[in-house]
Amino acid sequence: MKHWTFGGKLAVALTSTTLLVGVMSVMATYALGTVVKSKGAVIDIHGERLLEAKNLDLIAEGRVAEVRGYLVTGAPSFKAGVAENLTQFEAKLREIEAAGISAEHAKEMRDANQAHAASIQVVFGKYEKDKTDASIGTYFLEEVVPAFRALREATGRYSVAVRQQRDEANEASTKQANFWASMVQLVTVVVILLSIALGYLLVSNLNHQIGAAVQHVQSAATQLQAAATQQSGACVEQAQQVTEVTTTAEELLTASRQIGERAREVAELGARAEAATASGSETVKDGETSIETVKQQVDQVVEQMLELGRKSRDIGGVLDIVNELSEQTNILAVNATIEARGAGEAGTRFSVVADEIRKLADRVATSTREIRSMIDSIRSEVNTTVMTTETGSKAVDQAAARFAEVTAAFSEISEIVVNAAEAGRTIDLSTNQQTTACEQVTQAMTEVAQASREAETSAQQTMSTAGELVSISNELMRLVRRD
Amino acid sequence: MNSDDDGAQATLADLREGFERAFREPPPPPAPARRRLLAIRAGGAPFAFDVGELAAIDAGTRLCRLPRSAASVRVAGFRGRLIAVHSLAAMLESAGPPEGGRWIAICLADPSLALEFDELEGIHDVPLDRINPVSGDAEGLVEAVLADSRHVRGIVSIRHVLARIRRSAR
Repeated sequence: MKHWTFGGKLAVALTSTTLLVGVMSVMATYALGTVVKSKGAVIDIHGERLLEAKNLDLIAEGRVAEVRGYLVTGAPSFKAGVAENLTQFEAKLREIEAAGISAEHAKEMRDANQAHAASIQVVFGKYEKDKTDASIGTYFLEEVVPAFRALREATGRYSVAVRQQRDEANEASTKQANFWASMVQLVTVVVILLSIALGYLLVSNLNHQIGAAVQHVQSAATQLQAAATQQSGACVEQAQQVTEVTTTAEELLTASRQIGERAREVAELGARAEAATASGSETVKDGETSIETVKQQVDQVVEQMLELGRKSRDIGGVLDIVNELSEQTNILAVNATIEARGAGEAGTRFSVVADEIRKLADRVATSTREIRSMIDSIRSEVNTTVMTTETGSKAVDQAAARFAEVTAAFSEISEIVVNAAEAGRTIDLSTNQQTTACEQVTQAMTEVAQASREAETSAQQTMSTAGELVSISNELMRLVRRD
Repeated sequence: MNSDDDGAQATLADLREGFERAFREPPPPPAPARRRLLAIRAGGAPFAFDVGELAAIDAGTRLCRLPRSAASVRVAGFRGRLIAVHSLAAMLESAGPPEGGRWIAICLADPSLALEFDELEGIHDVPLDRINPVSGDAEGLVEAVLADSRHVRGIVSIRHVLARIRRSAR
């Protein structure tokens, strides 16, 4: 039910109410029919019975007239009328019996009728036997008239019984009518209560939904109003920006013209640079040749340094021999000193010589150590020089590689310069097109400014409409919610 | 010609001068009482021998260890004879561990015995007043000490060393 439409809910409510009213109408119709039928039965059946009772009475009355006519006139037609009257009475009685008369009343009326018929036959016999017979009058008064009265009483009791039955039926019918009237009233009250409840639920639900929708509309209208305000401000700002863009486009137009002039100058400079690049390439090739020569010389230096290192090692080997000789000399000198000591005074001069030899050996050893130190220093310097020279050789290699790269770069630069000159010409053409485009942009910006002003007007209208929408939604909210 | 060459020439001239002067000058007069010592190093410490107690020295002599003998005693061949070489550093308690010396000193008193030491520092003539005897230790191997400008050098008594070797041999 939450997702039902407004029309659906109304349709359901109206349909439910209509169904309830229909049920109530069917019930009322049934009750009315039942009451009418009951009352009709009372009127038809019991009226008919009353009428028939009256007819029986009238037939009995007519019989009396026929009997008196016969007794006065002696005309056979009256006698035949009496016979016919009896027949008619009996037929009517059977008809009433067939309609449902109680057996007691039928028997009473039949017995009374037969008694009356028997008394009539007796009177007729006496009359036909002796019209002047005085007992006829007596018999008539004592037998026929009482029998007729008995018959009238029987028919009268029948009429009373019929009336009583009519009253009872009428009363039952009235009760039934009252019952159905109460039922109809009850159903009416139930239908009214259900309709009220349904209406309350429908109104409550619709109020809730419509209230929520109106709140949404109100919120949306407020947002729309804010958006329209913002849009209006944005339109104003956009118009200002469009003006700035137009100014910028005009400046861009001027710049494009200047770029075109510069591009033509670039193309001319490109041609000059191309020639200079060709000259530079030749110079770089000469430099590359010189670098190769330097590289070869550095390689020779490295080889010579390595040879110097090898020679230094050879000198070190010779020094080892010299050192060994010095040590042996020292040993000999010490031993000579020892021997001179053992020789006593005679070995004094020998001891001097031995001392000098030992000193000489010491100095040789010292010089040998100095030479070894120098050679080690030379070898270290040679190694450093070799490493430096190898570093220089690598630097020369790198320089040669750089020269090759420079040559390639010059070739690339030449191509780039040519391309730049071509690009300059292309830029010249493009700036011409750009100039045209800038003019078009300026025109378009003017139109955009016009559109912005129109949008601003539209936004203000939207803002006004949103304000009205807010007022309407407030009114709607007031209608659906009293709080 | 640079400064290094000048220095070498000067050294060479100095050597030549010294050598020639030794033959040019007369024999030296009798020196005051001095003691000629052979400065050595054994076990990293400075020591000295009295040259008068030595028969000879040698370097680079091949030393061989005998089976079941002490590690400090080895044998070597010297001038056609077999000699026993004792490690001086092992015998001197004040010295450090032997460093595998390549020098030997042959004792004059018993040429079949030699002492092994690590390094030969030279021969010095030392005045007697710079030599201080070690008193109170008649059985010690160091009989005196020599104090120079750098350190104190013990003078090893070959005589005492031989006595200890003989005692240990018995």
